[in-house]
Amino acid sequence: MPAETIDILLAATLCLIAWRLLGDRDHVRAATLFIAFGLLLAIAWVRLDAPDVAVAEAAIGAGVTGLLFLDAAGRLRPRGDGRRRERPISGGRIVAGTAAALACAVGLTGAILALPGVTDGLRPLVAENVPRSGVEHPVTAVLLAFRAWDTLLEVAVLLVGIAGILAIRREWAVSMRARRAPDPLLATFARAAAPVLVLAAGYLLWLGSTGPGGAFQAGALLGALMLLLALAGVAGPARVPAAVQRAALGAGTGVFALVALGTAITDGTMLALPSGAAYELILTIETAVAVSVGAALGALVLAARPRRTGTAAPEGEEA
Amino acid sequence: MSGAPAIVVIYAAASVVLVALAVRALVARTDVLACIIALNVLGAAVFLLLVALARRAPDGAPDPVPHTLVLTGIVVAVSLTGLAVALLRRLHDETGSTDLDGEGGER
Repeated sequence: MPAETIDILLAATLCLIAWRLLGDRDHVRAATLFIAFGLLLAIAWVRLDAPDVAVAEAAIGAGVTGLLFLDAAGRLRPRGDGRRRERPISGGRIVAGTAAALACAVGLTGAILALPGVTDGLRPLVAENVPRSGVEHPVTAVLLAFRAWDTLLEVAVLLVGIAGILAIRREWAVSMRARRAPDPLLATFARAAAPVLVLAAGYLLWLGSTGPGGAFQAGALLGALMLLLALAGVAGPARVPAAVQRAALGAGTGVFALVALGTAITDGTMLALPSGAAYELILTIETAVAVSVGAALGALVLAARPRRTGTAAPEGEEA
Repeated sequence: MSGAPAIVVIYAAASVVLVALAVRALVARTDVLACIIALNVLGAAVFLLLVALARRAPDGAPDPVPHTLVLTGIVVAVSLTGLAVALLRRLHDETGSTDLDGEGGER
């Protein structure tokens, strides 16, 4: 059977899961289906020759986002008599929704059909400039050499998001303390997996210059490590001071901004990496970004845990 | 889109369906968490379209620029989701309601 059969099945399953999860009133079930949706989407990325995106989607798109939803679903129970959480959907809203959906579908289809069916896009332009970028992998070159400005802003957005979450929660730092006695099997696994995860993250970071990998993929692994340690309850009584947390969260944006400032001063153009030192600079930026992304992803989930009573401290307190 | 590889057409069509489903849910549902989930599905649909369209080269090698855009988009989407869920939690803490119009709360 032709290879496209897999893609047809995958695409149909994606649509089916999405249809099911978008209409589900049970939040826990919807969150679980969303994780499944994200993982199938990661397979779709592999089918479309996008391995960098696949790793990021599986870890961040499905993993962290799904975890955020599951956590929220578990905690947002109705108060009092447990009456229905969501009011019945009015017919008017359904009609409006269907009309909007149809309009979007028609418009989008028209726009897609107007595009050329075969095109090289920006691939030739990227290919001819990759040798000058300091790395060999095209996606990494685009991310950190040609479109570094976008990546800098992206890392800054992540930082602003964490700052916003901490502000909303009225907390100053994130706690990795165990909430209950650790499950021995999970604890053993966490302790065994921790050094492997660190090694794998470092490897992915290093690999990014020549193949699929790089800062965000490594950061996703580090975030997973942080969450594993916290959720397995093996982070122990050792506290991570708020200052260290902020340093880890800000490192990516800080280093990136410093390089941007430096190149602006010496070269006149921000983030125009000097060809002699481009690889070293990219690796430095990527390391800092990986640490920050890991810290941020962990903080995103851990900040959602219920506040301990009386944690609204006016000055920086330890986690 | 004549002459496009089959894989591009399949996933582009899927993305249109996903956009429609997500938009419908976004408009129709009144529960905030359901809307946040719908927003994420909408984002995923757009990413799917971008990466599918990146695969239109005659020799099959993908265009790396849309991949980079999607990578950036995934990270921004998770920041957005984290912030949105934190806001929802605060809404729930303050009013007991998880409804878009604040109904069903106890204060």
